[in-house]
Amino acid sequence: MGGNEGNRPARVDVPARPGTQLGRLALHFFLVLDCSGSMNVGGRIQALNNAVREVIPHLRAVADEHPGAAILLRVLAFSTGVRWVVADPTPVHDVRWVDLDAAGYTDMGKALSTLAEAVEAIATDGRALPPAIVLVSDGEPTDNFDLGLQELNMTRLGRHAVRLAVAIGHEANTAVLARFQDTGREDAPAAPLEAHNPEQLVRAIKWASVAVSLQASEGSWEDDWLVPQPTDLSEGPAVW
Amino acid sequence: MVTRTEAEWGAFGASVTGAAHEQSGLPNQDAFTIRRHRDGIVAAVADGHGGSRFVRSQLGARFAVEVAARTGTAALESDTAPPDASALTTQVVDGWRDRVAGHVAAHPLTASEVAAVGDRAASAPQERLAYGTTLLMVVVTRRYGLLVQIGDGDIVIAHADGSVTTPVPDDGRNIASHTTSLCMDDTERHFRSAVLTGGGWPADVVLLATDGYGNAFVDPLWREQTMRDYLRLFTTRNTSSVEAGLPVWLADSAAAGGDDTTVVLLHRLSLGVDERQECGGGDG
Repeated sequence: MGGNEGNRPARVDVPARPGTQLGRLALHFFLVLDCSGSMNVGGRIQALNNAVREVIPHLRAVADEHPGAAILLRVLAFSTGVRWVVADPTPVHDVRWVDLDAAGYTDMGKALSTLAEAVEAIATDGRALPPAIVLVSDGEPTDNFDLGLQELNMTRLGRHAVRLAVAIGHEANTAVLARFQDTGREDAPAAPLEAHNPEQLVRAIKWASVAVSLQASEGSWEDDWLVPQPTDLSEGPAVW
Repeated sequence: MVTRTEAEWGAFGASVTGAAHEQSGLPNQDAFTIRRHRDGIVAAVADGHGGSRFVRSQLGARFAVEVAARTGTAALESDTAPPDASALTTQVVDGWRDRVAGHVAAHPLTASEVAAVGDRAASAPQERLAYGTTLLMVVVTRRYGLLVQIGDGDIVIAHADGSVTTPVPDDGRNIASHTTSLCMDDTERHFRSAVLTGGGWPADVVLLATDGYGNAFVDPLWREQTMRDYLRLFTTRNTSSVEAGLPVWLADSAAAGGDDTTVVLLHRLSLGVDERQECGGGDG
């Protein structure tokens, strides 16, 4: 006897299903956002808020169209210190965005350390999907970035996470953002996405968010990126 | 009245296409088989890899369970108690590779399949990569239970006293959608096994499942309650009702979790209501 196909039989006199509640595997999606004082320049923080607000419906569409995973969003802001903007894993359909303000330094290392704690906690469930992480910054880390990145990479899921970064403006340290993206994948982007105007920022965050979510929920260990990088990300004049 | 020994086993299985595959038009990439022998039962499940590179993983899974069945049956014929797990693993791996090679020779990868598979991966030649699959198999007799596995998925054991165990060691590499595979060059190194004899055997219920089953439970500690529920069913309901229920339950799992879902259940016949009635015992 054997097989590899099954039809749905009628529910006649079958016992109650063994086991407990069923549900989709959680896909933990993290937005890690720079809210340092330089984000007040040229309307960057307003553009970032608008970009996040615009990307949420696209994440909801990904969740609706792909039944393999339930996308749970958390948002971590960093400036002088870090704070969870959305602290609990929240279904994307339940997220209501409240605009962020900008002030202070750029504690990106602390952000990655805090992220590492959250990522490690996910691994207690051995079935965990790889986390999806998008890091957005316009500047230079003002704390120990190397330590934070090391802590993230040492977690059980850190190097399995699907990670992309978006650099805002010319002052962004693209080298550290590239190091954040590097999880050892052969096809990992060599450089972060760059946004030099509000429209580019929206497109970059939108593509990055959808790409990491799809890759984390459906990508196998040998897959190329499921969503090719669009070619229009750099269209428009540079204002940052 | 038919006389049955306490250690005799029954077995049945089911497989349901995941909601994600139904939505995308992909086939069920799982497979299972059950082979009965005068001395025991061989059972196997396999999960062909998803992802665009694994263009023939449905076939790879089918080949895997067929080779496992043939190899396990040969082990029962040899009357070695129990078979050497390492030797059996080698036979399974060689048999699967031969089967894949023969299929490729008869049905070469098309140009589009070659493009999808891409260049040789670091861990597997292109032809075998296309057929990549996990494999979980058991050989059970009155004297021993041999459990063998590569990749993700679950082999869970339950005893009538309510104890639930997973004797096959974990593999920490099977995490975050990564899994070891039959298609890997050094696949034999990645097999895990357990041999149960003496006080630890026989178990009363054995469950083999592809990862779609366990992944659909919200609770990461799903095994204990689930196996106790199966024990209760086997001791209070006719086996036929449990067998009829399995595809219904798996359909719920496949819908909730999205993945292809396959389960084989082996159960000691002495547990069953119908068995106890037949032998003149139990409450019926």
